[in-house]
Amino acid sequence: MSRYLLRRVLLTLPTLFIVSVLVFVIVRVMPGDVTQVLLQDVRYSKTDAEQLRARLGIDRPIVVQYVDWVTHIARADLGNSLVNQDPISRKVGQALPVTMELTLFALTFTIAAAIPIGTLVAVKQDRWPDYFVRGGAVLGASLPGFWIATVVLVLAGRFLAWSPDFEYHPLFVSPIANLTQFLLPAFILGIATSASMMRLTRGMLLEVLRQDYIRTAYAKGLTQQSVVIKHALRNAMMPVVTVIGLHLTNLLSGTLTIEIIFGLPGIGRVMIDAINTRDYPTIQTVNLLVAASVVFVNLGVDLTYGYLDPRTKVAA
Amino acid sequence: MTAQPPTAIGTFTAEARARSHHPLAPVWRFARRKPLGAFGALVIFGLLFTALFPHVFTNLDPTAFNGLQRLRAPSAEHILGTDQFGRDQFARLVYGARTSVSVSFGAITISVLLATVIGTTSGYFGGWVDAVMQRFVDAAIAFPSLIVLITLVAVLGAGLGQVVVALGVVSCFGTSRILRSAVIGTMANPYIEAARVLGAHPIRIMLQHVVPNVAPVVIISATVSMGGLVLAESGLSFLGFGVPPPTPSWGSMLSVDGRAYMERAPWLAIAPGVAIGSIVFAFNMLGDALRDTLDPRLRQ
Repeated sequence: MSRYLLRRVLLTLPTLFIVSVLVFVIVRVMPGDVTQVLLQDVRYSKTDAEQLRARLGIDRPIVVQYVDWVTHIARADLGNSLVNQDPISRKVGQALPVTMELTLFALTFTIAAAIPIGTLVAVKQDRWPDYFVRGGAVLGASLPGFWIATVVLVLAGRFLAWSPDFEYHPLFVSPIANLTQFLLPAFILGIATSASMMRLTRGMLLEVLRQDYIRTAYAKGLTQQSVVIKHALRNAMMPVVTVIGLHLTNLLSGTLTIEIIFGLPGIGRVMIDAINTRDYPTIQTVNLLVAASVVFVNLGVDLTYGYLDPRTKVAA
Repeated sequence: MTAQPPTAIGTFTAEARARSHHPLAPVWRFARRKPLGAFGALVIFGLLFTALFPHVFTNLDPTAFNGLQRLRAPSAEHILGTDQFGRDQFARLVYGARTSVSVSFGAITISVLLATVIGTTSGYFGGWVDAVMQRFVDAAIAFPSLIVLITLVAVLGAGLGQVVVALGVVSCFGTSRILRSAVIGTMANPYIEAARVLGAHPIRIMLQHVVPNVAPVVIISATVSMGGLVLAESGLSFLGFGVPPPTPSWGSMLSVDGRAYMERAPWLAIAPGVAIGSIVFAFNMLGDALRDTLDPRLRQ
C-alpha cells in the first residue's frame, strides 16, 4: 500500500512539470503579444514595442523566463499581470472561489442526484422508471448547458418577468444572496455530468447485482435495502468514483459558459480576458492552478480506492 | 432441443445463411436489434444530406442581411423567423449543418489518427516509452477542454480549419487512453509473439496485427466522442472562439451577441439548441448501440 501510494504521489510530479511546460510554451506560440494591447491607443514604432518588451521581461530567452516563472511559483509568488501590473494572486483570489463554489455545488448535485437515482433504476431494471430516467439521462447529456441556461433565462424573463441577480454577492458578505444566486447555475451545470454518472451507476450496479454473493445475501434473508446498499452499492462504486476526476474537468469547462451567462466573476472571464490581451503570466498561472487541482483530485480519487476496495491495499 | 425435428433446424439455418449473404443483412439485423441506434444513424444521415444539399430545403441565403425584416416572428415566409440582422433563421440552421458536419467529421478523423498513433505506440512498446508518453497524456487531460480549445484557437487563428484541428488535437488524448488498454490486451495474443519471432518490423506488426484488432474499440470511441465534439464546437462558438462569422454555426447562433435579442425573439434561442441536442443525442444513441453490438464482452 505505502509503495503504491508513494509511486502514485511521485507520478504527479512529472505530470505537473509537463503541464507547466505546455502552458508556458503554448501561450508564447500565440500570434501577437501584450505590447499590441498596451500600445493600441498610441502611435508607436518598432523600437517602442521592443523597449516595452524588454521592460516587461518577455524579450528574454524562453528558458530563462520559464525558470524565473517556476521559481516564483514555487515560492507561492504568482507574479503580476502584464496588462496592468496587478498581482495575479488578487485577481485569481477573487475569481477562483466563484468557480470553485460553482463547481463544487454542481459536483455535489451530480453525486446527490446520480447515485440514488442510478441505484433506483437499476433495481427497477426494464420497468417504466428505468426507461424514463435512462431516456432523460441521454437527453440531459446531449444538450449544451449554456443552451439550457439561455432558454431558462429567456423563458423566465418573458413569462415570469424574473431574471437572475447579475450582481455578484460574495459568500461571506451575504451568504443567503450568494447561495440563492448559485443554485440555478450549479443545477444547470450539473445536469450533463449527473446524467452520465447516473448511467454509469446503473450499469455497474446491474453487473454487481448478478454476482453470486448478492444471491447469497438474499438467501441469508437480508432485506433488499440492505443487500443493495451495503453489499452491491459499495462494490459498484469503484468506477463511479474513478470518473469524478473526469467530471471535474468537464464541470470546469462548463463553468466558462455558465459563468458568463449568469454574470458570475469566475475564472472563465479572467481566462478569456487574459487570452485576448495575451497576458502570459495570467494565462499560465490560471491554467497551472486549474490543471494542478484536477491532478490532485485524481490523486485523491486513487487514494480512496484503498478504502472502497481493500483488495487494492494488498495487491499494491 | 433434440426433440425438435431436424428439418426445422435445417430450414432455419438455410434461411439464416441466405439472409446473411445479402450485403445489407448486418445493417438490417442491427436496425432490428437496436432501433434507437438505427434511429440515431438515420438522424446522422439526415444531417449529412442537409449538409451536402442545403438548397433542397431552402432557397434563401443564410448570410443575406435585410434591415426591413429584423427579428420577425416565425411566418410562412420565414418558418423560424429572422435574427437581429434580418437573416432567415431556418436557412442559417440548414447551412449550419455544414459547419457541424465539417467540424465533427473533420475533427474525429484527426483525433482518431493521433489517438491510434499515441495509443498503439504507447501500448506496443510499454516500459519507459509508455511511462513517458502517458505522463504527457496525463498532463494533456488535466486541462479542462474548453480552456485548451480557446487557447489553441488563439494560437492557430480564427477559421473553420483551425477549429477542426484544435478539436481533433484536444479530443485525441482521452481516446488514446482507451486504445492503449485495448492494445495492451491484444499484445498478449500468441500471434503477436509469432510475428516478433519471425522478425517482423514493429511498425508492420502494429499495422498488420495490432490496429485491425483494436478497430472496433476505435469505431466505438469515435462515435461516442462525435457527440462531444459537436457540443465542444457549440461551446467554442458560443464564447466567440468558433467558426468566424458570417458562416452560420449552431453554436454562434446562440452566442453572446444574439442573446441580447432573445427575450424579444425567443425563437432565436430554441431552434439552434434543438438542432445541437438532436445531433448529439443521435451520436450518443448510435455510439451506445455500436458498443453493445461490437464489444465482445457485451455481446449476447
